[in-house]
Formats: sequence, structure tokens, C-alpha cells
Amino acid sequence: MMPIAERIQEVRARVQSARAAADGSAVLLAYDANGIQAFLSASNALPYLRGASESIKEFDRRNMERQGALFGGGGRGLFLVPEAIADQLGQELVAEHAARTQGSLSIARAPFDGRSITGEANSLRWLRARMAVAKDEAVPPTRPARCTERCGDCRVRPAERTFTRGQDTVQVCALCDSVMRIGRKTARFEDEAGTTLDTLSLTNRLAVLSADGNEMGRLFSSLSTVESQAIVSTVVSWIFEHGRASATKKCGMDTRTYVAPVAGGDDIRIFFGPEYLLDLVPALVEEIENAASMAAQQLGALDPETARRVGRIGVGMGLVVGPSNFPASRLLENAHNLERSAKRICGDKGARSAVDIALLSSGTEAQDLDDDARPSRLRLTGGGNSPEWAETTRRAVRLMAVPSSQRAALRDAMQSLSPVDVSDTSGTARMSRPEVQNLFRYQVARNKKWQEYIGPEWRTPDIDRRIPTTFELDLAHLMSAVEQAATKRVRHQRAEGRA
Amino acid sequence: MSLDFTLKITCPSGTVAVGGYTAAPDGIDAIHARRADGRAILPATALRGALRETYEALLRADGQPACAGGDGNDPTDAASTLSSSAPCALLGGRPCKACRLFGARRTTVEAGERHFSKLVLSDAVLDGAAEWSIRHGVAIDRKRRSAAEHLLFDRFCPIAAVGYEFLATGRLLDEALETDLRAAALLTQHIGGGRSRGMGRIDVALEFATKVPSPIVRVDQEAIRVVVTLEQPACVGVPFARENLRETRLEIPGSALRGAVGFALAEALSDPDADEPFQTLVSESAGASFGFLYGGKPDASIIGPVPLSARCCRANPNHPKVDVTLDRIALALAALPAEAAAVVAGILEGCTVCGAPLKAKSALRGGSQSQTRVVDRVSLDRRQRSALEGALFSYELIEAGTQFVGDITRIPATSRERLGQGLGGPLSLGRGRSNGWGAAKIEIRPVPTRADMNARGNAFEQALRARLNHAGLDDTPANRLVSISLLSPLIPSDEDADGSATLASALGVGADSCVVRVRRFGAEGGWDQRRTSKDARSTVKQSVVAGSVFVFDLGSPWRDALAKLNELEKSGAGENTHQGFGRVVVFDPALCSSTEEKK
Repeated sequence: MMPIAERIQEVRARVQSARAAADGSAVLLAYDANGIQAFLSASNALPYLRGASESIKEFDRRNMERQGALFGGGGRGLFLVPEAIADQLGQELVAEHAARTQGSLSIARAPFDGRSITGEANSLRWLRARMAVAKDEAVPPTRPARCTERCGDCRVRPAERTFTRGQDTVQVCALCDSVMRIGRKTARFEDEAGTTLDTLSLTNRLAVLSADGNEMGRLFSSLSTVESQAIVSTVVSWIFEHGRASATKKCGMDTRTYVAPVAGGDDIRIFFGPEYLLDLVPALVEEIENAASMAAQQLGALDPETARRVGRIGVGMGLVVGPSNFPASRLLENAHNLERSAKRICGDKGARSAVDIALLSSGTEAQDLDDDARPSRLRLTGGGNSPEWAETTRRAVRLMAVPSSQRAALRDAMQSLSPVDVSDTSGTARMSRPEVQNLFRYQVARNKKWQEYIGPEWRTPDIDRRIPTTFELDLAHLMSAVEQAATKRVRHQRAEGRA
Repeated sequence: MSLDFTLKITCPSGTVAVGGYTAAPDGIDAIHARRADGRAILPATALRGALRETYEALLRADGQPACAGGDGNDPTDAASTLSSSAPCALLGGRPCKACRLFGARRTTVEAGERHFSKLVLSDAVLDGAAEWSIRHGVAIDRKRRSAAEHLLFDRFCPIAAVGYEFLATGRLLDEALETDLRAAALLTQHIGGGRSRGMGRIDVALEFATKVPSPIVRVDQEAIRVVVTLEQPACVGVPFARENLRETRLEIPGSALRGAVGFALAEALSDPDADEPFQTLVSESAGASFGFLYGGKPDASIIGPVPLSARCCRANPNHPKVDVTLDRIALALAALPAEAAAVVAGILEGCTVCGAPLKAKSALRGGSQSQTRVVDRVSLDRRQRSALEGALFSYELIEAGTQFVGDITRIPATSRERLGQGLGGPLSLGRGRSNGWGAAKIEIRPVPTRADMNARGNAFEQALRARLNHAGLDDTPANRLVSISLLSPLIPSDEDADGSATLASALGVGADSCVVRVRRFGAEGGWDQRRTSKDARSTVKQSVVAGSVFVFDLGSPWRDALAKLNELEKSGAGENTHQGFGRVVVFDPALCSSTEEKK
């Protein structure tokens, strides 16, 4: 990965060159791919997920080779070009994107007034407003085709071709076929080529992370020149790309254990095995915040205020652990909702980074995200050394010693305390808070593991204050399941070695 | 003639454990089925399975053919090796009696048929509260004489079900099968798992009730407001299924309401095909228009999603919402860069409370939200006693108790009594009718009066003039512009790419008169049990989603077009308006809060 200083130099050179080439009548032209998340997560097949990302990356790479390109990544980009070629460029971008993804691309353009900083700021504001309009007025997608057999992968388009996946053959549409072929070519390991998302995990669960930079809206709206816009866009992309790559490497993950669909800008999406969850969350925060500090140092000479803002970039993360047979798009939607939930405690007066996690059993969905008292929404202060995170995981680790059935009974009782919005409010089968507290006291009194968890003061009357949160109980169970699966795998490998 | 009945299930010993229906808490391997309020149930799917298994055994004992769980194969015939997807034809080319009573794996009904199964059965709900406990089960390692590793299973179920009474209600749609159902109920002795451990032992008492005529709802207006409350969970199909998860729509489409009323009437009438009031009611051209039902307040004059032009705070959705329609109009009318710059300068980019970015977010007017849950459903392979290959599905269900509101309009005078009869039920919305899913009760109210079109138009024009003046733009066009917000999806004609031409045509202007469009696209249609499944798939059509907003320049004052505007609100636009598609509100008051005003 190119160092950030070199990237900034390259962007500066691009802006200067584009300004010179555009001369008098220049326009700013931006593009943004529509429905990119749906395209990237339309299938649970690993070759598809990798191939779809590669298609978008290749689209951005080729665009950066075009005249006037200032920034490109994650299906978004910015050009400064002479007005005479803007129409042609827009048409070419739309056509190339459609050829690669069958999707639509929003194009916005605004006259570039480079005579003053105010003029440039107005041009950028106008471009943002035009892009908002273009997104709402984007051309409709391809109409659902009349067909007798739909693609076995995306389940939307007509099946036209046969794709071989391991020993199975699947009838797929032309797009899924070409995307999966790209995905197979980019596979770094042989066993990546024909598998689905569930192979990333030791257990039958899959973790999906969706992260997004905090305070990005304020940062970008404070930028007043095209150069600063291009540089900061590049820097932000680098921070998140570098942060993600460093964190996954730090956790010992490789492309057999995670897949990160292209996101671009300040977004990160990762599908991975939940065994890496406890390490990845603090590592990601630490690496992103460190990368932001490094980038801020490079930006210091350009604009101290912007550098200060960049140096404070944090991340809001949503993380869902769910059944690995659930559609990738559905898990990603849940993770994205949790990301929004985490961001609610970030901001000017809030935490720099935060995470919200939901551990879904088959049959549950991430709900009650507007509840301010969600125990799974944690501030990640202090980067990778967040005391809140450390304390929560420490308690969860200690809970692992408590028998799983005891934890489950308590978890179920605590779940029954949450209100359910149904007309039948008789509540005959639900437990009240004193009943849950009684259950907990009873369990502690009878079980040594619980007593060890509470400590010597387990006999005190107010031990119900020490009831673990539902999130800690879930986390403890997840860690137990991972531990069991890991042990099983090691045994299996040893047995195979002996054989 | 259908027969109503109640099914009383008691447990003479032990307890019951029907897994798969409810999410098991972590640390537990299986949990007995229960409702959202925690009350124990026997799911209708499990009850049907238990009754069917007994009935199949009875038929075979009597020398009659019976396939295994609807697979079309006669297990007593070694040569019977039909593919599991083949429909049952064991009774002289017709489905066996078990398939008639309980249904088979068919995707279409035959000519003259209205049901896949002659039995409609609800979940059996425990009368009262149960005490729950964890039952441990462990396999013993024969060599070590101790617990085998990883073979400790925990089931969470009622402590002891002795004395418990689970009550289900149902309808038998074919009187000729009454004796058969009685026999199946009498002899059914087990349900769910753990039989070898003495669990799942049940006694079933079937009692046919005296037929009580369905209440007739009084309908005496051309339009009525219906308030639907789900009595059982509901799953309303989506056009495209994802993997093995069958998702539900979160609203009730007009087609589902129309279908429910149609089925109720078809069941109640002796000859529905010859009944003129019924045929008029469901006529596509001259019949009633059954609107989409959304969550919302029953007395709200506008029901549906908030406009897509609304923006809410990304950090806190409870912060005040703003709308960008007036900004978009101003931007579209700006001819010079300086004018555009003035408009852009007035556009709000952050929340008025916390400054966080503003984002579009889909929501319903009134802020209601449906609770859903996912349940697993599996067909068992009778021979292997395990899940049948390819027959394990997860269904997303809207919880019972959820309330929906919508309107039925254009009700022909001659069909109002018939509609009242249909609304009296029994009504079932969405899929899984024979499992009791989608059972609902309906309340009728008068349609709340919306503000007069003229008053709404004036308010919109005034707000628009203020926005244009603030940006230094000429406000002359303000009296020609009309906003249209979709309250339900719009299915445009085949030639129309995005719905603007369809709406323009309804307004009597050209498609190029559309000044602003804030819209997204979706798909409508899907499976129709009256057609072959492959043909039915081709009914999927592109739609413009509810909440989309369009603004048109009529070229002349909108006051001159009041009649057309009123007609558009009344009749809707695009295809399938009889199913509630294409309902609109003109001059939506929600659009009048410019972002500029909030600064």
C-alpha cells in the first residue's frame, strides 16, 4: 500500500494538472454507484463476493487513469475536466459501470469557479446538492425479466448459464456467472474458489462488521477547495483501508478467514469468523485511530484545522453474529443498523469510537436499536485499550465458567423483561424484575461457579446488582462455542495427522 | 359448507418439546415453542404433522393409499420412487385422502379448487401460564460408563405439562372429511420430540361447534377505513425470496386484503361465480379498490410511508425531520449559476439540533413499526425421521397483535352488503392460511376527511413562494406546480420507465413537465396459486415505491385543474389500482417544511 505522504503528493499533482488542462471553462463531475451494497452482497458465495468487489475496484482503477481524475474508490469518484468533454465522460462512466454490474450510476456536475476559495467552496456545495438530486433521479434498474427460471445465486435475474461450484452445478444469470469467474481468478488460495461464507467460520455462525467514520459530514462540509476535497477523500480512504488491513493482519486473519467487500471512503464491511471478534474490535479502533494521527501529521502543513479534524477521526461499528446460512445481505443490513446505533453515542460530546453488537440466534433479529440503555452499545475510548470494552470482555470470560444452562435460564428470564409491542399484554407468562432477581439469587446460592463469578460478597443481599447484562451472557456463550469449535478442530487435525 | 371446531390438547404425562419455532437462548439446544408474550403453544405446523401422521397410518391400515407427508410416494409400495417434488396421484390419479385433508407439496390449485388443504388450523395456545425448566439429556459413553463428550443436550420446556390444556381453533372446509378428522384426532398420541424419553404424549379432543353465521359488517359508504388487527402471526410474500429465508412485507398489500375478502365470500356463498354483487365487487375495472394497509393511527387522514424527500438526523432519528422537496424545486428552477448558488446556500446539510448529517430513512407516518420474528419450518422425512432434504425454511412473521390501517374505496353500491359479509370473515391475510397464519379481525370506520385540496394547494404554493423568494428566484411558477406523493407503490405502464409519464398522463400534461422526482424502484407481483408457478413468476413487475415524490409543472394555474387533481387522488394512477396500487396524495402537507425554514 502506497504511503500516505506519497498519496497526498500524487493527488496534489493530479489537481494541478487537471486545473491546468481544464483552463477556463471547467466542471466538477462526480459519480456514485447506486445500490452498490445490494450488488456486493447479492449472494453468499465467496467467489461472488470477491468478484463483485473486484469489479467495482477495477471500475475505480480505470477511472483514475482518465483525464482529470482526482479521486476514485468504492464506486465513487471526482473529476475536474474541461466542460467540452464532461458529457462524453459522464456517458462513458455510465456505460462502463452498466457493463460491469448492470447497475445504474448517478452522475452530477457543477461549473467550477477556481478564481477564489469562495468560488471553489460554492462549486463543491453545488456539486453535493446536484449529487443528491442525481441519486434521487437515477435511471431505473433493468426491469425484472419475464422468465421461467431465476438465477440460483442472486435469485432475481433469469438463469442463463451453468456454473460449477464444487460438485454442484447451479443455473445462474450472466452477471453472477461473470462476477464469480472474476472472483475465482482473484482467489489467493485454492480452497476459496468454490465455497460459501460459512467456510470462514469455525462455528456455524458468521460475524459481519459494518463500520463508518464519525464526524465525516462535518469534515467534508468544512472543506472549501477542490484540492482539499480530493486530498481529504484520499486520506480518509487510506485511513480506513490501512486500518482494516493492519487490524486483520494483527489478528492473524487471512483471506481464508475473512472477506471484506469493497466499501470505499470511510466505510468498512467485513464478513469473518466470530472467533476473531474479541481481537478485531479493539484492533480496528486502534489501527484506524493511529492511521488518522499519522495522516493528520502529513496534513498539518496543508491546513491545521483540517488536520486537527482528521486526527480526531473515530469509527462507529455495528457487529452482528448470526447463523451463517442467513443471506449475506440480511446480515449486512442488521450490521448497518447496529452501526447507526453505535454512532448515536459518538460525536462532538460523545465517544470518539463506539461499537454495538448483536448476537442473533436463529429466529431473532436486531431490534430495539433506539433503546438508549442497550448494554451491547459500548464506548471505545482510548483506542484499542478501551476500559469499557476490556471490562465487558473480562466479565464475559469469567462468565464462561458458569454452566451454559444456568446462563441460558437467566438470559431467557432477562429477555422476558423487555416490552413486546403486541396487543396481548396480559403478561401472564413473562417474568417481573423481582422474579428475575430471585431466580439469580437462587442460582448463585446453589452454584459454586456463580459464587466464584460474584466473588466473596455473594452472600450480600444486594447481589442482584451484579446480574450480568444480556450482552455479557451472549458474549460468554459465543466465546464458549468458539472455544469448543477450536478444540474440536485441533483434535480433528491431530487425528488426521496421526492417520 | 365448512365446519368450525375446537381442538383441546392435554398432556396425560410428561411434557412437550416442539423445537424450531422459537429462538433458543444461547446455551440451550432446543426450546419449546412459545409466543412473543412467552405463552407456550403447540404450533399449527406441528399439530398438522402429528394429525397427518396418524391419519396416514389409519388409511394404510384400512387398505387405502396414502403417501408420506405429501411426497406422492406410497411407502408400502417398494416400487414407488417418485421424485419428492411430484404431486400426489395415489388415488386413481388424484391426491390421496391425506393430501386432500392436509395438503400436498403443490404450487397450484386445480380448476374449481380454492384451497390446498381442507383443514384450517390455528396454533394451540396454552390456557394460562406455564412454569419452564431446563431438561438435561446426556448420552452415556459405554466404554467409560460416563457422560459422552459433547453429547449433553438441554431442552427448555414446561416443567410438566400434566393438567395443561392447549386450545386450537379451526375449520374443516369439506364436511365429507369430518369422520376422518375425528379419527385422526382421537388416535393422535404424540407431538414434537423426546418421545423415547416419554415426552410429547398428548390426548386430543375434537369438538365441532354449532355453525355460527359470521357477523355481517355494515358498509353503507362508497369508501371505508379498515383497521385490521392480526390475531395470528402473518407472512406476506415478497416477489423475490432470498436463499432459504422467506421474508415478509411489513405492510399488507391491497391484493392480500382483496384476496382475503374474496376467499371469505367464496366460502360463504353457494355459487360465488354466479353471484353478481360478488363479481361486481371483485371486478378489476368496475369493482372496489382495496388499498394498502400500513401501520398508523386509525384516525389519520393520510396513511402510508413518509415521503422519500424527508431527511432525518443520522445520529438521532428522534430529532426533527426536514423535507427537501422545496429545495429541489428551487434548484430545478435556477437557471443561472448565481441563482443555483443562492439556492444551495440555503440548503440545510446538518441536523438542526446536533448538526449531524441528514439522511433519508424509510419510515411510516405516525412512526409505527412492525415487530417480526423468524421461525423455522421443516418437513420431516417419515422414513429417516429427520429433516427432508431441501424442505427446511425460515419464515419471517409479523407478530400477532400488529395493527394496520387502510381504506377500501370505489365500493359499488350494489356490492356494499357483500363486502360487509366478506369483511365479517373469517379473514386470513398472506401465506400459510391453513396454519392459521394471517387470521385477522377487522374494524370499520368512516374515512377521515383530508384537508380540502384547495387549502393544501394554497399552503404548498405559499411555502414554495417563500423558498423561491429566499433564494432570489422568480416565484411565478409557484402557482403552476403540483406535488404528488405516492401512498402505495405505483406500477407504471410498460412504456414508462419511472412512473412520471403515467402520472403526467393522469394530469393531462406531457412527461417532460416533471420538474422534480425523488423516487426509488421495487418489484411487485409473485406467486399466484391459480397459475402454474413458472408462469406466475413472470408476473413480477417493476414498481415505483411508496413514498416517492414527483413535482409537475401544469403550465397553467393548478386551481384550474382541481377536478383532475381530485380525481387522481380518488382513482389513483397506473396499473392494478383495484389492488390499491398507485394511490397518491396531492399537495402533501409533509412537503411544506423547507430545510431553509429550519435554519
